[in-house]
Parts: sequence; C-alpha cells; structure tokens
Amino acid sequence: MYKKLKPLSLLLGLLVCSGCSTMKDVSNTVKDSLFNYEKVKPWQRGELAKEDMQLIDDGLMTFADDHIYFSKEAATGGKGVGGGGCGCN
Amino acid sequence: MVFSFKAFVLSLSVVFLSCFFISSSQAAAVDAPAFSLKGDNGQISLNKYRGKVIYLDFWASWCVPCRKSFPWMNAMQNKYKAKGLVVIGVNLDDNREAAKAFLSQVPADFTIAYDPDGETPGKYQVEVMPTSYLIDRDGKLVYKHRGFKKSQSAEMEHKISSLLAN
Amino acid sequence: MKSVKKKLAFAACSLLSHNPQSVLASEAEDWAVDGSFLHYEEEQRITVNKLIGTLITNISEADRVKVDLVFDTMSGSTPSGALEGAGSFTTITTPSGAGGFSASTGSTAVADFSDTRLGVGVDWEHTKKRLYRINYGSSISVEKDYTSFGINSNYAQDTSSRIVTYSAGVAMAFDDVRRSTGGTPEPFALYGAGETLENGTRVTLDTIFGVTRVFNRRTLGQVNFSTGLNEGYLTDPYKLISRTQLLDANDPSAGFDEKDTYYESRPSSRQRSSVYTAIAHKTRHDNVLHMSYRYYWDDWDIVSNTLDFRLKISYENNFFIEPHLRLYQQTAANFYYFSLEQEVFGPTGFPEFGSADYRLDQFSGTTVGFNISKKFSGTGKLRMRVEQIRWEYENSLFDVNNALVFQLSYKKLFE
Repeated sequence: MYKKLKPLSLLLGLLVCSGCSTMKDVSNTVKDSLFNYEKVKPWQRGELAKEDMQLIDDGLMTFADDHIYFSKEAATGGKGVGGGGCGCN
Repeated sequence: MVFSFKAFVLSLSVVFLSCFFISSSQAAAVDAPAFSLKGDNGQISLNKYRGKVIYLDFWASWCVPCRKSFPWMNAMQNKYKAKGLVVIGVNLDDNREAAKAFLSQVPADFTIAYDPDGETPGKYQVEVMPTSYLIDRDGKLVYKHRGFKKSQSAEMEHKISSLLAN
Repeated sequence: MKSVKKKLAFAACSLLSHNPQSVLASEAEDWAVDGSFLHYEEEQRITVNKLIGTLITNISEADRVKVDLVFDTMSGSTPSGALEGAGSFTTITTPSGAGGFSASTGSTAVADFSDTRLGVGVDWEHTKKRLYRINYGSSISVEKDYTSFGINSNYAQDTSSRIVTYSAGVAMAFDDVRRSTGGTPEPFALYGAGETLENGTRVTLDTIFGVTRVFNRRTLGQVNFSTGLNEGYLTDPYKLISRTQLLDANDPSAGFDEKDTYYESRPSSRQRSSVYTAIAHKTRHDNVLHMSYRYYWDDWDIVSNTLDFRLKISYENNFFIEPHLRLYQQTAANFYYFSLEQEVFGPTGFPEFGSADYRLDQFSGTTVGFNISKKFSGTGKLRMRVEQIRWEYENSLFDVNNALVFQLSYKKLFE
C-alpha cells in the first residue's frame, strides 16, 4: 500500500528543509506536545488564539478537500467540531 | 473495534455534569492584592492609588473582546477622571511588541501596566480574558467581572459611579 | 458518468465541517468574507471548476452567522465500471498487466458528462451562556440529476478552565437521485434494457461526539467518534458491471471475453463509523504542525486509514509555506467485483449485490502538495495551493488515477 511512502516523504523532507529547522521540529513535537502537559492559564492562550492554531484553520481548503475525497473515496467525515482558541469571554 | 455507544454517552454525560460549577462575580470585600508593575512612564503600584476608585482590567493583544472594551474604558476614564476614577489596564502578553502593536491600533487613554510574567492575574484569580475588577477608595476589592460585553457595560458604569459617590 | 457520492459531498460535508468559536479568534472585525476558486483535473478524465464563497458575521455578541455558496461545473469522462463497448472488443488483457486500456468508440467503459451544481448553506452559532454554544445549520445542493437537503445541529461545552471542550452533533440529509434522462435503472438489468424505475431517495443520519483538549500553551488535541447511517437508494444509477468469461479456464492471465453488461446493484443500507484524532502544535521554531489520523469502517466491509500532515512554516513579511502530505488506504466493499465471472456466477446468475465502481475497490491514495499564503495589513489573507493526488487500485480496469488540484483563495475582514 505505502510503497510510495519512502520517496514521497523524502520529497516532503526536501520541500520542508527549505525552512532548515523543520525536521527537528517534527521530532521535538512529540516531546513538546502530548507529553508536556500543563494547565494553561486563561492569560497564557496567546498562541492558541491564533488562526493558524485552530484545528480547521482554513475553512475553504478543508471544504474543498472534504468534497474531493468524499467523491473519490469510501471513507467520509470525522472532523469538524470546535475547541481550543483564545477561550475569551 | 467494539465500544458501547450507550456507555460512552453515559460517561460523557457524567463528565459534563461534574464540570459544572457556578462562580460568583461578587468578590468578598477583601484587600485588593498589591502589585507593582512597569508602566510606560515609571512604576505602577496599587498602593499609590489609595483614595481613588480603580477599574483594573487584565487584557492581551490576542483577546478579541479586549479590543471592544478599550473604547468603553477610554470613555469611562475621561468621564469620571475628575471624580477620582483611575483605569489601569494590565497587559499580559509575554512580549512588549505585541502589546505595542495592539495599542497603536487601539489607543488607550488610561494607564497601562505590563505583566509579561503573569504574576498579577494569578493573585487576582483571573479565570477568563478579559477580567475586570473594581477597587474602592480604601483599597478593597469589591467587584469582579468576567469577560467584556457591551450589553453589560451600562450596569458596570452604574457600579463605578456609585463607588465614586462615596 | 458521475458518482452519486460526489453529490453527497456538499450536503454532508458542510453540515459538520464548521469551526464553532464564540468569537472570531484573532480577528476583531465583525465581518469576514472568504472566496475561493478551485480547479480539479484528472489525467484524461474529469475536470471540475469550483467557486466557493463564505460570509461570516457576528450579528450580536452571542450570535454568529455563516453563509456558504458553492458553484461547480464538472465535465469529462469517468469509468462506468463496465469493461468494454458492447461487442466492439472481444479480448483485453487483465488490468494488472502492463499497458493501458483504450476504449473504442461506442464503449460503455467510460462515459462523457457535463453538469453544473449550485449549493447554499447557512449556519447559526449561538452562545447560550458563557461556556455553552449551540449551532444550527442547513444546506441545499441542486444539479440536474441530484438534489440534496440537509440540516444539522451541534452542541459544544467548555469546562470552566476552558481546557477541555465537549461536543455532540447530529446531521440529517435527504437526497433525490436520478439519471439525467429521468428515473433509475432496474438493478442488474441488461444495459439499455429493463424498466426505468422511479427516482432514488435516500436519508442519511450522522452523529459526532468530540473532545478537544488544550495540552499546553502550544498544543491542541482532539478525538472524535462518528457514526452514520444511510438508508434508501445507495446505488449509482449510471454505474455498470460486466460479465466475463476466461478465454482459457486454466490460465487466467490469458485474458477474458466480455459478455453482457448490466446496471449495478448496491444494498439499501449502510452503517458507517470512524474515529478521528488531530493535533495542532506550534513548534519551537514557531511553525505550526497539523497532524491527523482517521480510522473508518462500515458494514460494506470497507476499512480505511487516513493520515495527514501539514507544516506551516513562517517567513518574513507574513509569508508562509505549508507542505502537505496525505496518505489514504481502503479495503474493497464486500460486493465489489472487477467483473461478474461466469466461472463463479454462471452465464445468467448474480450475487446479491454487485458493483464495479472503482471507488469501492481496494486502493491507496497519496497526496503531496504545498500551500503558500500571505497576510496583508492584518485583515487580508491570500492563499494558493497546488496538490497532486495519486490513487492506485488493486482490482479495477484503470490501475491509476492522477489528479491535480489548484486552489486560490482570498479572505478579507471588515469592521
């Protein structure tokens, strides 16, 4: 199934290395994310408030992709509920 | 993959219910916690404002309701300055540039203090952004208001003017 | 020939793919308009051009309304599932053999079509009390041979610390499916013959339960459980399936002879489930990583895995480049056949259900692409995306489908 995986992830790695630091990013993510739990205070939500940090950060791209894959593949949906964000008011 | 839908919904309901609590926005009349923070022109210390009524607001550049609250806070400061109201906006951004960028778009006619380490909101038990407090002329914390909504600002103004009347 | 599933897209997808925030997160303005042009092109098959527009507005401090508009034009040719023109070829090589397949004129293996579609959706989000939000939405999609109407509702509740959000949603869709010439074909009737039955109708019910958690200042995670039920006419009225006979009963690789071609037949019920998990994480270098995984299964015996990675890298001047990788894999439906083999079903026999629609085959898909975006003076955002999708099929007439996606979008915020 995934015989294309190796060359493609290499391609992805090349694409992504233009940022120079991103291969390390992916490996640090596991350390920094799920295993570094903290009770975030309401005033510490600056990063979470940003548009890019929403789970659906570009509604039109998600909409278009959902449509494409819905038409071409058997599996559907799964995403689309909210949470996160600035937690204001 | 097997899971019981009913059990899942039931446990979810239990978790929902256990998360409820009602917190009062009326604080007991305790002394407002002291603070001394950097401002644009020197130090901002709470004890220097004894005798004034203080509207203390915790805000950040990324907080959308904060943008809506600034014009109202400006209006309050200008209207009640002579009667002894001091509005202090404590910025909680972890970097000064974000606060400055916000202020250049949404100017403040009131005092701004900077608390990038976030020590003061802890003392004041801030639960949501923004949160505002009223401190009377004796330095007592008399009111805590969570969030900002224009529809609630008239009631807040009423509380301010009644504190100023003392 | 179109897949009926494609048309479900707008109704079902827009029902549950909203982003319920009680305020526009990093946007102070009360209005947001977002528009997009999408071009989707398959190698030698269909082409879709799509225009999407979204308007979001805070009509009050507690209410946010979203309106979506979609306009599609589709054209090209698509595999019908049949193997050949009726009688114009007598032999073809097996699909996993080398070389492509070319359809002769008059072949039923591919069919041309062209169609336009219009869809509208509305969503209203109301913040009941500080921690509770409820959404109501509705949508309609109309084209020549497909009409869909959907409604949905979603409830979200935060814990008092706003670290965790619990969501529950339900959606229903009502569809009318027919051929552009009217009605639907009799299942397993000979192609071109059989009765024309009435329009197909179908009801879909979907539910979703989700938990979103803030793990730390830079990480957000989500797990969703979804189930859905489709009842009614689930067959594609254009799709065909052929009966074949091996040229040499002792040597399958010698090829086969195409006999008759029939309309396909699918069950009238489908129960679907999925578990979806996603993470958004801001890395030490201030890039944003989005990862997601979905496990899906249904009672047609299709099981699928989807893995998605995006890394949004920021550059100076509010410029971003986001590479994207998506990996997909599914098993075949239990009534999927490359063809009805005479060796199995005899010259006139049928299975209970049968479809040769490649979308129900076992296959894998890989998407590689990148998205470039630029933010302008705080209130405008331009995005351009290019992606290549490659699907590889195990047991279909066409081994491979390649598609190119291009999307250009612009979002503007207003006071």
